[in-house]
This record gives sequence, C-alpha cells and structure tokens, in this order.
Amino acid sequence: MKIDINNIELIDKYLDKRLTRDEIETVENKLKADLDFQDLFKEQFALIQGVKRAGLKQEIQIAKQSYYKFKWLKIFGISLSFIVVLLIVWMIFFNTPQIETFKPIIESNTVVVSNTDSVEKIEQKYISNITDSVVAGIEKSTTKKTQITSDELKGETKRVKVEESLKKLELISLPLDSTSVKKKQKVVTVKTEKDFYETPKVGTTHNNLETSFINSLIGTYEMRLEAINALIIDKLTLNPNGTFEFYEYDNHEKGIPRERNKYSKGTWKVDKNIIIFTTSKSDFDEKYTLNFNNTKARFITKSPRDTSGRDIKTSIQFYDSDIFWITGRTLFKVE
Amino acid sequence: MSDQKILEFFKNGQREKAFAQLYQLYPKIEKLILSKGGGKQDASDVFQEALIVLYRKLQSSDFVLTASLYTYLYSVSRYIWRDTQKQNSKIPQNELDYSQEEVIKTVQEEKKYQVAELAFSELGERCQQLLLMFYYKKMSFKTIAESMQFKSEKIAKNQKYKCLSKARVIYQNNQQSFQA
Repeated sequence: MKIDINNIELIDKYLDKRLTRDEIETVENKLKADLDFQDLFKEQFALIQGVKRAGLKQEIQIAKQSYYKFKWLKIFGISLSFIVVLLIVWMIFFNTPQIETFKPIIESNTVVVSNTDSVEKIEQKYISNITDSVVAGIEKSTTKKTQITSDELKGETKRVKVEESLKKLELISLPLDSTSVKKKQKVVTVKTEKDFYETPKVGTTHNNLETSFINSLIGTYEMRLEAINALIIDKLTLNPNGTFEFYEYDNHEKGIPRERNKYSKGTWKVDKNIIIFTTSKSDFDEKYTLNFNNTKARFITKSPRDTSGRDIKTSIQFYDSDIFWITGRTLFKVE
Repeated sequence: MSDQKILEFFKNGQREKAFAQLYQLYPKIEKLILSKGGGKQDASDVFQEALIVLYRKLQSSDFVLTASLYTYLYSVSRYIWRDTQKQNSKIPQNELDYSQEEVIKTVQEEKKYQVAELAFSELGERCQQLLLMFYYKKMSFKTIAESMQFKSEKIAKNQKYKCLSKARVIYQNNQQSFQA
C-alpha cells in the first residue's frame, strides 16, 4: 500500500478522536479489511507512543531536577536554622558578662573603667558610672601605693593628686558584700594627667590626706615689702577650680613710672608639695601681661606631727621662674 | 502531598508538578533497587520507567487506582527491575497489590514503544522538535509553523509527514534488528 499523507492524517485524526461517527466506522472497517492499513496504523500508533515517551522523559527530568533543587534547599534551610539556634543558645548561656576580668577602655587621654552590666556616662570622657561592682585602682609606685575607692555620685567634686604613673593603673573588682563598701552604685573618674577630679561620698576610704592637702593650698597669699623709698605688695590667689590670679603693686620714688601694677592669671596644679603655674595664650590681655609659665613654688606649712612650739606660718615660696624678680619671694597665707 | 492532589495535577495537564511530587517517593524505590543489587543509575532508570507506566495507565479510561500511588509505583518498579535482570518475572501474587498480569502487560507494551522512542531519538533535532509539538504538546500546524518559522501551515504539515516517514523507516529497521 502506498503510504500517502492522507492515510497518516486520517489515523492522526482517529487517534485524536477528531472524526465523525461515520468516519470512525469507515476507519475501523478499513482496519479489519485492509492489512496494509492495519500495519500502517500499528506502526504509526507505536511511533506516536515513542514520541510521547520522549516528551514524558523530558518532563520527568525537569521534575527530577526541581526535586533535587528543593531537597538541597531544604537541607540548607535546616542547617541554617540549626546554626542560628546554636548561636542563640551560645549567646544566652555562654556569653555572660565577665565581671572579674574586665579591662579598662582607654579613650583618648581618659581611662574609663567599665563592666558590661551598666555603664552610664556622666561626664564625657571623664566620668563613668559603674554598677554592681566596686572598682579599686591601685597605683603601682616604687615608693608608695595609693588606693582609690569610688562611691556614689554625690557631693562636691574634689581634687585629688595622683602620680603620673597612672598608665600602670591596675584595676580590680571587689564583691558587693565587701565589708568596707555597702552601696551599689559606684563612680570613678580617672584622668591620665597628673591630677584628676573625683566625686566621692563622705565616709569612704578615699585618700583624705591628699584631698585635705589640696584644700589647705586654696586661699590668698600676700607679701608686703616696705622701704623708705619703695613699696612692693604681691598678692596671689589659688582658686578651688584650679585657677590662680597674681597681682603686684610696685611703688618706687625714683621709678619711671613711679607706680606699676602687674597682673597674671592662669592655672595651677600640684606635684607632691610643689605648685606649678601655667599661663596659656587665652590668659593674656592688656591687663594680664605677666607670664607665669615655668614658675614653681614650694608650699610651706607646719606638719601636724610637729609638736614643737615653733611658729611656722603657712606660705608659698617661689623657687623657680622665668620672671627673675619673683624667684625667692615668700607669700604668706591670709587667714 | 496527597495522592488526590497529584491526580488532579495530571488531570489538569500539570505533569511536571505531578512528577515533582511523585519524586518524593524516589528514595524508597532507590532503596528497593539497591537492596536488589542494582546501582543508583539503575534505580533512577527504573523509577523513570515506572512513572511513564503510571502516566500511561492514568490516561487510559479503564484504569482504576485501587491502592496508593506509592504501592503502584513500588510494584511496577519491582517488576521492571526483575524484567531488566532477565529473570523469570514471576512475582508472588501476595507481593503485588495490583494483578501481576496487569503490570506485566503494561510494562511489556511499553517495551514496544521503547523501540519507537529509539527511532525517534535517531531523528534530527528539528524533526524531533516538530513531532513533539504535534503529537505530545498537541499544537496546531499554524502554531508550529510560526514557532519553527515555516512559511506556511502546509509546509509544516509536509515536514511533519517527512519526519514521521523517516522515523518509520528507522523503526522498521530497528525491529528487524531486534528480531534477528
């Protein structure tokens, strides 16, 4: 039988059920009577099934790929969730604050002592508020040890002298139930300069000797030098806020001019019993012309341990200065 | 996913989705084939053939699914593997949820179509594409002509006739080779 395009089209339509009832009957009769047409039909049917198999295999391969893709995404998702859970567990149970091993954070020229519980910045760069622990700083010095214990931020600010070796400051944490301290909130102010400010509470173990020494310096000092033809009056005021003011009145009969007034102002600080004066650029103007930089004075007072009856007046004695005439002068404290 | 949902996918022509869901059963079939001495590639081939058999049966109007899809795929896979191993595929009746004859008949029929599939795979790429569009995707000659850039529907129709005739010749030759 000649395989023509019409027979192929007829079989396609029959298999797709696109024929009328009469056409179907015709095809089925032909299949019974015509063996060649029957063979053609069987072959075409098998070939169509072969094509369909190929199409199905393509779709199954795509489905297989999407199944494996989903499987790996699932594994990845489960792994990720597991890692997240582990991290959370670790953060909850193992990342506890290490109170006993905290270290000071050095911020510019400031040593800020903190633990991870609660740190409240009170004065920028200078003051840290530390809760739940008492912090004591022990200054390691070859000659002496100064223990600094801080307390609640309460009361007036006091000036305390410390050694330059603050870099060696060693910090330790004391438990709350320490017999020496009963309050919770503690404050420490540490500055890496020679002096620092602290805000202690009365009745603590703070270095009261240092504080009282600085307090004893604050006040006004005078010197009066009178001769037949001359009068010199020097007046120095050391203020509690670390500033000073100096005034000299000079009257010489033969002086040109006869009367002179000299002024200076700036800041003062203490190193042991030595007072060091500093005048910065902003301190100078038309009135304040004296330069007190590199000027040092010794503080002289009667020791509390001195039980002798001798009378030693509290005074300041300049022993080094760029102002030649001031060296050696002693100014007595005005009571 | 329930069998019902998968059957709905097949009914709506969403075969890829249905096959993707059925692949959830693959690990169990793979385990079966591995336990019978097959490899992973064998398991993959057997499962693919079982899916084709299932699809064929679902397309036939007289087929009624009396057990789960997994049970059917398991029975068919087991038979295909035994048949592949050239063993006398006499599986005890109590091991099959579907009648042995039903499974054997379907698998053997499919083997005939595998020869036709082989003939199809020996055609050129364009012929394969054209026949797939017409017989599998049920596209009209007009759409095929536009998609494959034939000048007219008639040319597409003639081209399809030529491709089918070519496949027929290859198929006849392959059959003679297998019989020999």
